[in-house]
Amino acid sequence: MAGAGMNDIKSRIKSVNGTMQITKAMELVATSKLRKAKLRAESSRPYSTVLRDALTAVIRSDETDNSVWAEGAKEGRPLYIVIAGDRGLAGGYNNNVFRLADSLSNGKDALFLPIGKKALEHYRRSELFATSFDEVDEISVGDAFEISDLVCRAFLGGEISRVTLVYTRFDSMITQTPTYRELLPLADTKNGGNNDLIFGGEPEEILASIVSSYVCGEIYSAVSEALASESGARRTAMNAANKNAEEMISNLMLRYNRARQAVITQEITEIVSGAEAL
Amino acid sequence: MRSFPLEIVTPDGLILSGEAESLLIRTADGDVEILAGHADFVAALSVGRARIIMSGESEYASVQGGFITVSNGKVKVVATTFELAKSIDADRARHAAEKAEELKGRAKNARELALAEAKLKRALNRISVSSMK
Repeated sequence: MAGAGMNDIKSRIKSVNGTMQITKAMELVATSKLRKAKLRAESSRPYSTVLRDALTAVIRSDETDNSVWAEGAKEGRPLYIVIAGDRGLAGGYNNNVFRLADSLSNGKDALFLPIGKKALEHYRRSELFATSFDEVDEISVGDAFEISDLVCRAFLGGEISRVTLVYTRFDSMITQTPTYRELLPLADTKNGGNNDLIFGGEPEEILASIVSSYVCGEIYSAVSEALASESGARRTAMNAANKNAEEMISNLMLRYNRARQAVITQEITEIVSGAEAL
Repeated sequence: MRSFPLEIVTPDGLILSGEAESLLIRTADGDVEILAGHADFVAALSVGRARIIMSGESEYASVQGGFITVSNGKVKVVATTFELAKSIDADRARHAAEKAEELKGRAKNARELALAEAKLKRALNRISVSSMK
C-alpha cells in the first residue's frame, strides 16, 4: 500500500528532474546568447546616437521646413512596428510588449509590421504591412534597410501617416522595459534653425537619404535591444523555474523518505507481531 | 597641419573616432575634401572610395551609402558600410563580384538587374580600394 505511494513520488521526482534539465539548459543557452546580444546592442548604439544628432541639425535648417517628412499624409493610417521574440518561455517578455502596442494602437485604424514569430502570431488577425520579417534572430542590417525602404516609400506615398516602433528596451541583465519610439513624421523641424548649413546637393534628396538611414538605424538598434531583452527575460524566467524545480524535488524527496520509513516500520511491526504469535 | 575631430559610425558600431587632418569622400555630387575649419555642411554619400589622413598617414576605405555632416567643426560620417582597406578581404570581394556578374546575367526584370548592378559596383569598389593599402 505504502509502496505504491513511493513509486508515485519516485516517478514525479523523475519528471521534475527532467524538466529541470531542460530549464537549466535553456538558462545556459540564454546566458550565452545574452552576452552576444548585449555586445551587439552596445555596438549599434553609437550609430543611432550620431544619426539622431545629425538629423536634428539638418531638420532644423530652414531649407528643410515644410518637408514631407515633417508633415505626414492626413488620410494615411498609423503603422506600428512591433518587435517580439521567436519563442515563448521568456516570462512576460512577449505579452508585455504586445500589451503596450495594443494600448497604443487601440481604437485606431492601425497597420502592423510584426517582427518575430510570436508577433506574427499575435497579429495574425490584424491588417499587416509586411509579413516577411518573422525571425527576429535573423534580422541583419540589410533587412533593416529593406524595412526602412518599404516604410519610407509608403510614408511618402501617403499610405501611412505615422510610424511607431514598439520594442523592449534592455536596461540591465534583470530589467527590461517595453517602450516605444515615434519615428515618423519627424518632430521639431522649425525651432532654432541653423541657416549656415551648406547642402551638398538637393536638400530634399539629402534629407531622404538621412531619413532612410535613420529609420534603418532605429529599427536595427531596436532589434538588437529586443534580442538582448529577450535573452535576459528568458534567463530570469528559467532561473526562477530552476529554483522552483529544486524546491519541488526537495519536498518530494522528504515525502519519499517518510514513506520509505513508514514502510520499514510497518514491516518490522509485522515481523515482531508475527514472532510474538508463535 | 590643423586637425579636426572625426567620427565614423556604421550599424555594426563605431569604426573610427579621433583627430584627422583631411577626409576625402565621395558624395552624390562628387568628391569632397574636408579640412579643419570647414563650414557646416551636409551631403549624401554614394558608393566610392574615401581617404583619411591621420597624423600624416593616409588610409583608404571603401564606403557605401549614408551621409556626412560637419557641425561646429566636428565631422561625422554615418555610412551603411565603411571598410578600411586593410580589413577588406580581396578574395571575398572578387568572389562577390563574380557572383554579382552571374546574377546580372540571370536578372529577369529591371529591379533584379538594378540590384545585381549595385552589388557588382560595391564589389568592384572594394576590390579597387583593397589594392590601395
